[in-house]
Amino acid sequence: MSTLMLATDELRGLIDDIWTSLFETPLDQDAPMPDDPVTAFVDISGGWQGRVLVATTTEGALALAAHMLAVPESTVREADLADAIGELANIVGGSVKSCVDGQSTLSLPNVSRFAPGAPGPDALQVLATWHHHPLCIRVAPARPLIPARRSSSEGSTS
Amino acid sequence: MKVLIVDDSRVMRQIVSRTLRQAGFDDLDLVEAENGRQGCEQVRSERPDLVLSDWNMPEMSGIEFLRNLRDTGDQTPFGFVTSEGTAEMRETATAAGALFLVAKPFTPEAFAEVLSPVLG
Repeated sequence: MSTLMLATDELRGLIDDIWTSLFETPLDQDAPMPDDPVTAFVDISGGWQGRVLVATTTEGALALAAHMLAVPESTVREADLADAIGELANIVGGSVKSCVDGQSTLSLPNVSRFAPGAPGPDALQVLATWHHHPLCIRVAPARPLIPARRSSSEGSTS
Repeated sequence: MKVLIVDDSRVMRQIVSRTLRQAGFDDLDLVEAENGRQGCEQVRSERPDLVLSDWNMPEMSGIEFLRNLRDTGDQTPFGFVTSEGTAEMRETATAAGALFLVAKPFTPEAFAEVLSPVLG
C-alpha cells in the first residue's frame, strides 16, 4: 500500500514553485471561490489513489491562459481556458505523484464547471489568489468503495 | 535545425516554443503534433533533428511514440518534456532510447543544458 508523503505546507511550497516558474509571481492570500468555477482534475492510480484538482474563476482561467500563451487576454480562445487549467492540473498532479511511493499512473486532465465543495477530512487544500483571481488546489484520496450491506430486515416477511 | 514539439496542450506547445527561444535556440524550424500518432507521421514527413515530446497524451502516449519509432529503426534524437520526473520514469525513458527527460515546469537553463549537446 503506497502512501502520499505530503503535508499541506509542502503542497503550498510545491504550488508556489510551479506558479513562480510559470507565472513569475507567487500566490497571495485566499479569496472566496464563486459557485461555478472552471475546475480541472487529474487522477492518480496505483498503490495510492486520489485526485488532484485545480479550480479558478473564468476570469482567472483567462488570465492564466493569456500568460501561458504570452498573448493579450482579448485574443485567448475559449478552448484555451480549458487547455490552460487542464495543463496546470497536469503539472501539479505530476509533482504530487512524485510524492507517492511505489508505482502509480497519472490520468489525462478532465475539465468542467463544478464547485469543488467542502474538502474531506483527509484532503490537503491550498486556497490562494493569483492577480486577485481565486485559486483552489486540492489533493484528495479516493474514497474507498463500501460494498452495500444487506440490512437485517431485508428479505423478511414479518 | 528542425524540432518537432509533441504535446496535446496548445498552451504547452507555445511555452516549449518560447522556452526554446529564451534558451538561445532562436533560429529553429519548429513543427508541432498533438499526440504520438501524429508525431510518428510528422517524423516521417518532416525528418526533424530532434523530437521534444510530452508523455501523457490521448491516442498514443509519448513512450509508445518513442518505442514505435525505435521499433521501426528510426533513431531521431528524442527527449521528453513531461509533468512527471520520477526516477522510475527517467529509467523507463532512457531504456526506450530517450536522451533526456525535462520535468514541467522547466526553465530556459534546463532546456539549454539538455539541448546544447543535440542542437549545438
